[in-house]
Amino acid sequence: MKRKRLLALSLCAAMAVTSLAGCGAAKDTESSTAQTTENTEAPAKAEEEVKAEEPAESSEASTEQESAEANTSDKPFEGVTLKYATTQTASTGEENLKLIELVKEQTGIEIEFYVIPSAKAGEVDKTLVSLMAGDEIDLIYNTKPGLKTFYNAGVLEPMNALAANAGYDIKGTYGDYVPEFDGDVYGLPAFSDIWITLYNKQIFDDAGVPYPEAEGWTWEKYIETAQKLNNPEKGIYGSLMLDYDCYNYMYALQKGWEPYKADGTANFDDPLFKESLEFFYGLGNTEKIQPSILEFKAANIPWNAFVSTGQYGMFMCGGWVTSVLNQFDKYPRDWKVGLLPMPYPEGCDKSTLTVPGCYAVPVTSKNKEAAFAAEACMAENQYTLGMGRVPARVDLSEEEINSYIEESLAKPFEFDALSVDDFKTAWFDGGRTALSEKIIGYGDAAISQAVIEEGQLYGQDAQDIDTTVSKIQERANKAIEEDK
Amino acid sequence: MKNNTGKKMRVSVSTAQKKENFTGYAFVLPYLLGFLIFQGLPFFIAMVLGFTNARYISKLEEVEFIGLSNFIRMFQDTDTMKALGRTGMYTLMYVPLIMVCGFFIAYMVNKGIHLTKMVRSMFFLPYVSNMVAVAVVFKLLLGPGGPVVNLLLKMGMEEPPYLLYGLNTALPTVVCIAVWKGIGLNFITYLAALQNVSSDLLEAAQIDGATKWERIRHIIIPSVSPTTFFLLISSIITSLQNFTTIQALTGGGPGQATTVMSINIIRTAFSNYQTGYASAQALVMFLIVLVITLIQWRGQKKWVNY
Repeated sequence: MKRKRLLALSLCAAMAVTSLAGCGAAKDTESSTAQTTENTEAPAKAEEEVKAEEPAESSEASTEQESAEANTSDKPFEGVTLKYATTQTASTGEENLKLIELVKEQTGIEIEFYVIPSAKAGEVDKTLVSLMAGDEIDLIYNTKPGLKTFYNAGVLEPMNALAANAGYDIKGTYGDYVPEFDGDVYGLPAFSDIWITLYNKQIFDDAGVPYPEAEGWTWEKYIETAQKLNNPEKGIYGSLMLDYDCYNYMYALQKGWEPYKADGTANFDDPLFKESLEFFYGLGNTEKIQPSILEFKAANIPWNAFVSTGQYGMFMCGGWVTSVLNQFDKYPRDWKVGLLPMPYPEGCDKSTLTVPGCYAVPVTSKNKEAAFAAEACMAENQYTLGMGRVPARVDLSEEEINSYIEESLAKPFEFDALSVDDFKTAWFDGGRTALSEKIIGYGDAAISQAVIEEGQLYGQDAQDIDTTVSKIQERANKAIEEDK
Repeated sequence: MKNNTGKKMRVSVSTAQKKENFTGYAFVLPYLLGFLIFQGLPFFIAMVLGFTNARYISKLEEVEFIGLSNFIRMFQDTDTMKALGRTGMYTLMYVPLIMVCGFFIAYMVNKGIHLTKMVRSMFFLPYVSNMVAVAVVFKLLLGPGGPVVNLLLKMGMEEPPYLLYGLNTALPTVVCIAVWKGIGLNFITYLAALQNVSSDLLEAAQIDGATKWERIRHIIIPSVSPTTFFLLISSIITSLQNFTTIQALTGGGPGQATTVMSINIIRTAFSNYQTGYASAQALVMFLIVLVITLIQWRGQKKWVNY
């Protein structure tokens, strides 16, 4: 009888343990943090393992002691350990590993990864969840628009005071790339994703069309060139664009439109926005230089179709897509790629869309000064790691830019024989106005949703342009009111 | 306990019974704990949040109790009301279709067809398939260059519709795919029920001259009514839990043509960060399911034969 009871209780215990097994994630993260750091900083393994297990207070005390001891050196934060929130994939990536080594070398600060699961579609950023729960994190990465959400949640440390204490000139180093909200800076931009035009030289050669010039690369020329490249018999389109929200308003932005009016209400009833919708969807429906939005959606054309199919003459997208150009094992190709800046409307100033990638210090950081020093080091130097980044710095000299392009940026594109000038005109043209790819402000997420949904209905001829504009305007104003 | 006269009776429980009861509770406890922590607690939190102005990115001290404002707002919000309407449409299409088709296929298989085992597996296979994989396959089947579009082109249609991207065709198409995927459960359950229908009754009816339809209507359908009742409730609930299906197939589009309540709630909570409002919407959905189920429980006495 006793044995039976014992067996029953054991079974119950086993059931309880298995049903609650999922609760062990936090510990897994800790061990994952330690494991990741172990790979990069082998000599410091034992020390860091101990640190990971130490209570926060003890860690804080030792950090203060270490800081005090190191204050006399030229590396005032030598020995300080900071937690950098990142995903599992990013924490094992070459770029991040090089980055923490660089920070250690230049500042003496040790960075350990605080691994956070990446958010899937429809999920909230897990770093934000973690910060709102009060987790002690010293550094985070996000895009400038992404940081706005963190700012709204009140989890970011303002930078102006920290920069003033450190004698650091933020504006002089990064110009307009900085994430500035309500008069204060909330992060430092490390690199910028700048929109470009990629073109398939093989398709140009086959069509007998000369390669376009960066100078005077307007939308009018883009359409004219794409029309010459179109070859329906071979299934070749002259152009490819994706279905992101910014395609709907890029033309308006380039003509000086702003998503919000001076009184804070939505500005989608501006004729420029209507013109922009007509322009973008007209490229597929009227000009027929690219798949219509209906064909694009129904055929599930992937974002990498330009490289994976070789069926598109030109591709207008963010500069991040160049990362696939040298992945020949994944995207094998025997044709070369040309690089141009983003086109602009004739008669307007040259412009392009950008999204800066930034580092920021959360309010939960226990060592904000050290975190700022590490952040500045990362933002200033990340581009030097040879990972094809376009620095978000405005203080680099012509020589520094040339040398960077020749020695680093152009290297991965040797197959395509892209020249220094190609890169300079596409990514380093100081005379080109940088426009925010994303709408940043009240109700931005809901506005983006409305622009995509209603815009695409117009694009697939399911509603007329005036109805589309008035629906977007109405939904945007509602989103702004609800978000205030 | 009360006896027939209404007086309270003392019932003594033996030690062995107590031990058995304890073991029973011990076995139930792990599930109960899991349920309370992972379902009960979030449900309670959602109930509380539904009456507040909580936003995902607002601080706890800024959260205020706002009474029924979220619920009033929900019924004034045209987008949410339209999403509710689409949910109703989805259920109205999904439930009859899956019930009738499930029964029909089970009836045919039960009658005896060639390759019964293979047919049974074929119908059940979609039920255990991954929805995202199913979505990819259907997008290819219904997209440009797919067999459906090619067939329509060959039949002389100049501009064949892309069924998942038409304002009027997207929702019915999604429903059909969801029925195709979910029919396995209804089919297998009905098949088990049909195998238990008294063959004596069917033979007697046949001898008495009852037609096939009369046998189905007066013997088979009443005999499987408990199964029908179970499947009806579970199909209605499944039809309201349609987030994965729609998200994978259309993402709520084109426009908002397939934006049902589950999609609307997720967007309100995690894209627009309006946690309180989203919780209120979820609570209303819970109440709707509860009311429908209660009505069915009350109504079953009239048509379910145990």
